[in-house]
Order: sequence, then C-alpha cells, then structure tokens
Amino acid sequence: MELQELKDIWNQSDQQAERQFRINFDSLKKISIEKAKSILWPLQFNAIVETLVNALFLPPVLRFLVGYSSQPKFLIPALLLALMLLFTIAWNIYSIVLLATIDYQSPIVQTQKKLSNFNYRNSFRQQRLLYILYPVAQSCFLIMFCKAVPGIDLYDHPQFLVLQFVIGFVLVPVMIWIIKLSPDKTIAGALSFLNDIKRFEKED
Amino acid sequence: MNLQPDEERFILILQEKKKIIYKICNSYCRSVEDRKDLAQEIIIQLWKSLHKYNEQYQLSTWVYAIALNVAMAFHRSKKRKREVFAGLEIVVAIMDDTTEEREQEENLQLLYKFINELEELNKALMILYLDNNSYKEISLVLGITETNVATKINRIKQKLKQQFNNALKS
Repeated sequence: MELQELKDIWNQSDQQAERQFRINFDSLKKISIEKAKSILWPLQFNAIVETLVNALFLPPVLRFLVGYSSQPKFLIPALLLALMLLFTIAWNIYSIVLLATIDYQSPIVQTQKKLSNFNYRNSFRQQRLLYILYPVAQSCFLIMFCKAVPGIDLYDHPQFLVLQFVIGFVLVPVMIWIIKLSPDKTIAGALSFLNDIKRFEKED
Repeated sequence: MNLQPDEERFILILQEKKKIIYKICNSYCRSVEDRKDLAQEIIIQLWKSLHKYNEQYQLSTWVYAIALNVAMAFHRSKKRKREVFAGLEIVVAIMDDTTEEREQEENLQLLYKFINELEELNKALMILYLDNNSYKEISLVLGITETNVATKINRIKQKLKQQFNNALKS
C-alpha cells in the first residue's frame, strides 16, 4: 500500500459525503441558529448560577465582618468565609469570560491547551479544593450564623465548638480518602491531554 | 424567505465545505448519533465565528481550524447531550452506510478505523495531510512549526501504511 493509495481511499469520502451527508438548509433558514447553545453552555450556566448564589451571601458576611472587626474571634471566621466567597466569585467570572471568548478559529494547539487547562483547574477546584475546605467553611458559617441570627456566642459553648471543629477536621482526611477512592476522570483526562499537547508541540 | 447576506454566505460556505465537516465527524465519532451532534456543533461554531473570519486565510483553513477544535472539545466534553441542540434538531442528517456501500468502501472504513485510533492531535494532523493541505497550511491550523509537521507526518504515515498492509494481508 503506497501513500497515494491511502490518499485515494481517503478521497472516496468526498463521494460518500455527497450521498450520506445532508444539511437541511430549509430548516437552517427557518430556525434561529443564534439561539443554539454550544456544548460549553452547561459549564457557563453552572458558573453563572454559582456566582449569583455566592454574591447573595457576600453582603451579609461583609456586614458581619465590619460589625465585628474589633473582635478577632468573630472577625477571623468572617474573613475566611468572605475570602472563600470572593475566590469562588472571581473564579466563576473568569470561567464565564474564558468560555465566552474561546476562539475556535485560533490554532488547535493553543485553543485545546486553553480548554484543557480550564477543565483541569475547574475540576480540581470543584472535586478537591471545595471538599477539603468545606469543614472549615462550615465551622466559620456556624459561628457567624449563631451570632448574627439567634445572637448565640458559640465560644460560650466550647464543647460544641470543639466537637464542630473535630468533626470538621476529621472530615478532611475522609474527604481526601473518598476523592482517592473515586479519582475524577476529568482531572486525569485533562492532565493527560495537556501532556499529549506538550509532546505534540515538541520538535523531535 | 429573504435571507440576510450573512446567512446566504453561510449557506454557501456549508455547501462548499460540507465534505470537510463530514470527514472530521467520521474521524472523531463512531456512532451516527454522535456524528450528527458533532456536525451540528461545528455548524453552530462556524456561524458564531463567521463575523470574525479573516479574509487573509483560505476559507478551508478557517473551516478546518474551527471544525477540528470543536471536534476535540466535543470529544472531551462529558456533556454532549442532544438537548443542547434543541433548536437544530433536523439540520443535519448523516445516514449510516448500507451493507452494499460498506462492502464497496471497506478500505475507506479501515482507514477511518486506523485514523480513529490515533491520538487526537495526530488524528487532526493526518486528516489535514490526507486532504492535501500544504505543510504551511497544516502548521497554521495546528499552531506548530512546519518542520514539526513534516517529522510527525512522516512517522504517522509509515505507521498507517504498515497497519494497512497488515490488515490487507490478514
């Protein structure tokens, strides 16, 4: 089999396309293709919802932070929670902008690297970072919520607080163990594809 | 129905370049349903990128870049559900081969099979090469140097030839 023969075989696709591939131009004219959503839309939608939810929580947390700025025992949990919320909002805004500006006409290596880096970081944040930070966020939230709503100072109930922290920190290795038990395929896939791209770019 | 100039131009582009879309869909997807979904996604992205088309590039280079980028993103996306394309349900029809056609085009199916087994970026490289694009055009679409294109093509085509010869012998 010579190379030209391979090309000839490949060129049979053109006749096959004529027979088998029909684009319904009538329906294309009738429907509004502008409204069609891309495969990346679910990711964008999630990022928009997450931004809105976090933005809702941010003002009361900031108000609490300012109100108790002279009391470190309340200031520190409020500060931690505010930072987590701000990080999530910032990440999601970055995701929305990045996904909206993906330029498919750019060179393939460049576009795929951008997409894979995003997939890797997004999955890492969702599948690892948030699980690990969850116990800390939960304790901070309880301290703030109990003080702000029913007016209870959880530091006056050290047993509950210690229990809360212990449960929280016991959960961290449990979360890590669960993550290791079911490794996220998106993270592994994105990393392996990034390595493929690196190899592909390298001149042999 | 009166079409806007952009829509008319878009339909002309699709008519002229649909073979590229077809070959990329066949190379990246095995099932007919996936091929239809991918074709629709490529059409959506071509339309959305039309206003950014840079006339200094050849039309086919532009179509290849978008179609291959979308094919790779589609391939890697877990969310390739049909509901995403609700409004475009009947735009594309890719018929499955009839038995008779399958027999006639056994070699073509074999070639698609071998191309399908290549790594994603090598697959893109080989599609561009088999479609008679120059090394310069291939390097432009992929974003690697011409020397790199030449080296890689040489290695992959040897592999393909070998696979083909083995298959024909057996």
